[in-house]
Amino acid sequence: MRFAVIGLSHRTASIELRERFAHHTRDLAKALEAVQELETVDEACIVSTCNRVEFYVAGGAEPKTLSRALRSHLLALSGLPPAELDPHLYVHEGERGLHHLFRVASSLDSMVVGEPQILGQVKEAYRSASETKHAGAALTRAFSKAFYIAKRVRTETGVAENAVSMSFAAVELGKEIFDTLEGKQVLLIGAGKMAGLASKHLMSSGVQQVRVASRSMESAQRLANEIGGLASSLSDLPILLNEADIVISSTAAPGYVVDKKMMAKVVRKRRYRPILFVDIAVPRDVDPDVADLDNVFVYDVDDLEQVLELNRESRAREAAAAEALIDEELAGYVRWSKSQQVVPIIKALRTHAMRVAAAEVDRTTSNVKNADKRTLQSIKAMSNAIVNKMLHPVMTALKEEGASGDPQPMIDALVRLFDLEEAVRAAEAPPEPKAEAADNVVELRPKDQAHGDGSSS
Amino acid sequence: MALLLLKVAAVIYVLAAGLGLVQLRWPRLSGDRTVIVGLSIALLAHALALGGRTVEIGTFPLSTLADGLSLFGFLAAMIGIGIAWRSGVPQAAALVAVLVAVLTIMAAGMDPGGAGPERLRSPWLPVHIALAFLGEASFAVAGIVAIVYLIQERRLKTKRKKIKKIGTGLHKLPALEILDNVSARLLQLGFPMMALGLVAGAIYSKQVSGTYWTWGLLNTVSLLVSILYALLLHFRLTIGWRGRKAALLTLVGVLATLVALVGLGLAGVGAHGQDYVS
Repeated sequence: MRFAVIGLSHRTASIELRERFAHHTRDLAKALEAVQELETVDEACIVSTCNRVEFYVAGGAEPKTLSRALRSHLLALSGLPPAELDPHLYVHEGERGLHHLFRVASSLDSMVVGEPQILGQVKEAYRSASETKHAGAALTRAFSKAFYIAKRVRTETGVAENAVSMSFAAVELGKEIFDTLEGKQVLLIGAGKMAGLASKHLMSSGVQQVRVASRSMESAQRLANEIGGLASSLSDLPILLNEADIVISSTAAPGYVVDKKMMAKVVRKRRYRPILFVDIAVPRDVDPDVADLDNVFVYDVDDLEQVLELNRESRAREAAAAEALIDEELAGYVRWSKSQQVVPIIKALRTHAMRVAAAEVDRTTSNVKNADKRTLQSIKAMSNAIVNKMLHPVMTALKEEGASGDPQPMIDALVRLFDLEEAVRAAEAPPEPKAEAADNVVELRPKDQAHGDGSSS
Repeated sequence: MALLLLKVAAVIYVLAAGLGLVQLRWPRLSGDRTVIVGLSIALLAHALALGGRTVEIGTFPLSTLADGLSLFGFLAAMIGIGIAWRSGVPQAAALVAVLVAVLTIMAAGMDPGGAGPERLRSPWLPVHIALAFLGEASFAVAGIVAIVYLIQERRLKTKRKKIKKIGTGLHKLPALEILDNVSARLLQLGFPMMALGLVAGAIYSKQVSGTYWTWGLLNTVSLLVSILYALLLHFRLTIGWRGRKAALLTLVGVLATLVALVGLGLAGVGAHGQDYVS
């Protein structure tokens, strides 16, 4: 399997380091071009989201050679010494590379396991590579299989259904009320880490503006800078609530920060536009009675946690089922793909032998005078039978080797013995790369496709 | 012939309604489309029935209650299909199918009557009935969308038990904002129709009975509902009234109208509960 992947993700690298690569892959066409120019690389695809940057390649050389070339490329790109970059890189070669691709596409490697966006992102990456002719037959086969497996994982296991985290729940709840989050305003009360994470997820869903209100202006400013929002003082809360559509609250305050009296006034002022509170503070920031007001929806940590708790066990079970499914698919794919490896040589060898036999038959029969049709046919049949009998054990051995071991030495020997290089190349005529391969595999709601790999993008 | 077609349409409406209810309870991926297609087929049969009826009586069928209910159902089905298909409220198709199934069954069960007595004919009659029914059909669909709104609102407020389903796609109802906007738009569409329909009705009434207004059941209910919706639209624009209460009021108006209409239909009395047509 001449396939390799090298990359870094939220599991191995900090956001700064990922950003550095994300920056280099912003112009995807150029980045693909650069990878393709590496010696030994025939095909390339780059998956770049905010949570991962991965280079998938296929080529004529051994996977080790491929990954070595890629690593040097990444080192050059980052400008970092090997000692600093290497710990953050992962390299998967051959079968393990495929395994990784299948897991990524099926959202098992995501920050929020089972979240649906990553599949759209991988498809998009493949589409770009395919449109610019960087993805050829080998990558097309691998990615099509990955999309197929991802669909199976989605439909046959409960992984996707359990993709719930606080921020994911916030986004989903927001969509139940507002349909689209585009152009909506988010207010963070309290500058905690969780709130920042949730707001990133919301922003990747199209939220227009995030305001951060905190008791300390300094920490509000810090978080606002980090996520690209605006800092405000907590004393402006009524005004801020007036403008917000989604409020994520996470202060350490001992009492309620938003009470019913305050909110009743705000609701009238905001002309009863719906508002969603996601209160992840303990103790709570938002008085539960606020939920009695019309068009005000309040979800506290218990409401969200209940889902997480409910799902934790089943989530682990479903993830295990998904892993098993991937292993099974991978084994089948590898078997198939190995058996495919011997197809060109089998074709070439047979064509070669048949041609030799036919030529000899022609030569012989043209010398025979008065030969009747039946005799000629018998001679032809005999020559075919000889060829088939002679080749039969060779073919069987090739197929066996193809299915279980590494057929390459045998192929090399046959090519050399029969001088089949040309013929093998002709027989290797690649299957047409399918442009629609990415389209027909999984239905994904279009609005899902633009967002982050887990929590942000 | 026309009556037979109407019965066929009624049967298809019933089937579409059945499909729709199954889809509401056990949603399937392509189910919404199936319901819309079923409803459209029923609508087509219904259109043929209306056409046949027009040919039979030589004028557009508006003068008897059976014709009126049939037309009302036709318009409601048409608007319902539009809302289900274009406005992102597929659940509307199922509920509209139920309503229209009831209306067409009633219409098909009645004596269709003729074109009405000569002395009651006037060009204002079809104008009155067409406008009033267009208005009422819009209100009816607005009420149906309001029902979906109330269900979705309930789900979001009583989060503890229902949250499991949030985010799982198929069980998803449309977002509250969509439902609220669609319902309001339908009221905005229906209100001027209804108002003009009342005016046309008054002119017609003057022509045939010498008085602009009679306090029949349907007149009274229509007037009250129009005022209710005028207030609703007014408050929506001025103080931003919306959401649950607006949905409830919409529903009250629709139910009042329907009860008046259907009640008259069941009682078998004349068009307005009065004795013009006997």
